[in-house]
Amino acid sequence: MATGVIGASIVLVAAAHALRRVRRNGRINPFFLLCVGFIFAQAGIAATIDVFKLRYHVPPSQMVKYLAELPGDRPIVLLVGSSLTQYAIDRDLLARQLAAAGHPVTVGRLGLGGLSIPERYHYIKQYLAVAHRRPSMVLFEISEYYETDPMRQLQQNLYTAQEVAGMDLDTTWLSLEWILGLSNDEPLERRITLAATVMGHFLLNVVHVGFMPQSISADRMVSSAFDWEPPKQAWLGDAFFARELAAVVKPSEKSSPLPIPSSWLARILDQEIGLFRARGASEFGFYQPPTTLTREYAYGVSFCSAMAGFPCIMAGDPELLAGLSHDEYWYDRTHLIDEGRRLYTLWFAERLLEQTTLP
Amino acid sequence: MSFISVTFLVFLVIVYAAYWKIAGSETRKYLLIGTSYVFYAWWDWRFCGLMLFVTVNAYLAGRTLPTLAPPWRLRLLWTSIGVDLTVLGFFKYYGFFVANVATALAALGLTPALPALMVVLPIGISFYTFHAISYVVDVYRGTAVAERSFANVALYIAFFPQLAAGPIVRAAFFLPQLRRAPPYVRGGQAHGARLIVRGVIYKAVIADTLAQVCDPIFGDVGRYSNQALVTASIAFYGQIYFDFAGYSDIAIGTARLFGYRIPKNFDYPYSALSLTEFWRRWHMSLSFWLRDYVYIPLGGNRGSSIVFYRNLMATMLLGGLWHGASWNFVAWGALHGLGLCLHKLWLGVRPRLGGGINWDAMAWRIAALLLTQFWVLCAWTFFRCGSFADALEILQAMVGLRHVVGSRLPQSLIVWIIALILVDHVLGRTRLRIAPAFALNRSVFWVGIGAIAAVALTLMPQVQKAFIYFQF
Repeated sequence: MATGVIGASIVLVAAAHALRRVRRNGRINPFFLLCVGFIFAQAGIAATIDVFKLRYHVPPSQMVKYLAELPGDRPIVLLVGSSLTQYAIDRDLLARQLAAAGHPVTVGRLGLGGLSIPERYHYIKQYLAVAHRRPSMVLFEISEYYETDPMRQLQQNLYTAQEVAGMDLDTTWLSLEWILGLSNDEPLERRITLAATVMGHFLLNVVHVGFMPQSISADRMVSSAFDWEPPKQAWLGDAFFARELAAVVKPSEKSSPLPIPSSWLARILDQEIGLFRARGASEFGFYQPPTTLTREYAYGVSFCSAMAGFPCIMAGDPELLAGLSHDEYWYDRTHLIDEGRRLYTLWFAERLLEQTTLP
Repeated sequence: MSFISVTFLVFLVIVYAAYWKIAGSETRKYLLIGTSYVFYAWWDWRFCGLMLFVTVNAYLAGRTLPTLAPPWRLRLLWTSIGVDLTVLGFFKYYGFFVANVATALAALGLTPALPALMVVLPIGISFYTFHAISYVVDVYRGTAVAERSFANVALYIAFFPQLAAGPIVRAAFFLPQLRRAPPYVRGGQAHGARLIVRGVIYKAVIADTLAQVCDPIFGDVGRYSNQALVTASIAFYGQIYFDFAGYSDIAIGTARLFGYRIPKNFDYPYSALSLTEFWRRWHMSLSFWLRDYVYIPLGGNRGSSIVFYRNLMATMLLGGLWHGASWNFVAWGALHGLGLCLHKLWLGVRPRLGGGINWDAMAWRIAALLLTQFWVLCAWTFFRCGSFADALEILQAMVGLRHVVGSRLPQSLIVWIIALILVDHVLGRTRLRIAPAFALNRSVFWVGIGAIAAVALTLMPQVQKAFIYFQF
């Protein structure tokens, strides 16, 4: 890529040196002319991107490609989630379990660590636009952080290609709705900072800042590189997990002052379900992977109560939680790994068979 | 606040609009002083006080100098310079000094508890202290008039386009501009915009792309093949030029948007046929500053040859040390000092080699170019490497004395980098002659600037590195 950029730079440098003298004629405002040049060049860049099918070479784009090219002709069950789902569910094992029970399906996952709800919406649109086969069933992950801290990923990875790539007009609008809306109790100073950050990312996205060195033709994109998981680094002990998991399902004494889900999230979910429904999906549901956080579990319970019309699978089964009481089954307090993942996947398959109408 | 950031773009647009909107040169001046301090405070507001202290020191010395008798004038001059050098020395060299004293004492078997402080290096300190020294010395010499207006001295030292990394503007050059209101000149605006766009291409597109090539290699020299090390060295040779020349273009262009002129800092240094010429083209504001405030006061080329070479070496060693508190920078300065001495020696020997040789022939010029640039390339190795051992390993790789099998880089990369430098230098240096033929209609110029800016933004790496010279 460096060679390509250096090659293009030779042309740019030559052009910059050639633009030398200015004759003092013309009455048109220089700023207007500058904008005209900028906009025309942007149109050319957009056309180039279109012709060469260039995409940001970032994990979410790789994920979209993987989803669009899911092999086989079995109906697709799509898990829409984040790293919680990535760590908690073994897709192949889940598919085998469902097939063994007479429901041969392909299980796909749309979601990456920290993906916010607005970004998720962005990639759902991308996926549905390019996929040859669309999902029959869509299951959405439930997590409190979608509502309480949806901009965490953005703040941790400021002005990176991944964050800029996802910040199109819809993502910006939805993000600003959350930042400036009433569904959170963020202080004014933080709201202003976040809004400026979102606008900054949007600006970079719109004018394709840094796009070329980060892009790749959609045909050449590798779809297997987005599923990376770091090794476990912290150990909290079996006793900790036994204690926390036993306590997690106890009813919370403090109820949330805000409605769950917020009107902001409910509206986006409506839009997402509408998109999937328009493209053939008929079954929808929600699930929350196991967690040691009481607040997170309480949020999930409230969410499921509000979404009574949909199947909702909460990992509150005491037997399951007791089986997960081992430190080595957890990456951290909310993410399962290895044997923990296997146990939960098996349990999840049974609940799907019981509670949903699988294709 | 980095020049290559959305924050700076917003800052510039607001300041620019306010500057030309408000009437009155004094108000505009105060606006620039205020916004320059905001610009500086963006990094660390605590050091605004330090800059103000340096400014007050320069202003008071400037006001007092003309009123004093000669012996007191000299004492005040040295006091003022001493204050500036103390500030610079403490913030920039304290840790280096303590570490080296400790090492030296340890070698003698002594281990005293030296006061170790974690001193934060304020951005731009090397530049604004040099501005302050330049002002006081110029007033002392009579080449600059002592300013009655504190605002003028404050703006001269803090003017945000040149605050973080120069160019080091002379008081005698800049202060007269402050005394008269700079008018809005369309040609100046066009020139400023062109420089900014070129600076963005140099820094954001080229230098940062080259950094992606060389940074991993300089970080782990032992893992790479000779070919990769040579490629990385050439990439850094390009990176540092495009980085600093790009920064300088943006600084000069930004100043021009506000009607102020700042002299150029680079004049295609990689086309230099000798190190003497190189230093007339590279970081010109520093090399001329060192010449006028260090080399000439030391005696310059007056006196014996020994004194002349000593002055040259001392100036270059100081120049090296100015870049940073590290022996690598001293080695870099020493190599340049040695090169300059050898060149002067050669100029003395050359006439005795026979009159029949045409030293201006193309072959000799190419040989001089290659030799000079190879010397510069080798010196950059010390400038960039984290240790002497790494630098020596790269030098061994350059001359084929290193035998390590390691990772390689694409073969064509060197060709592309050299082609880029060549196109820049050839077109840059010859444009004055071909410019009339390409004289552009004003509309084409501005539309072209907009289009080039759009393409440059698309090509630049998303994560921008800080300007290399910000650390000095």
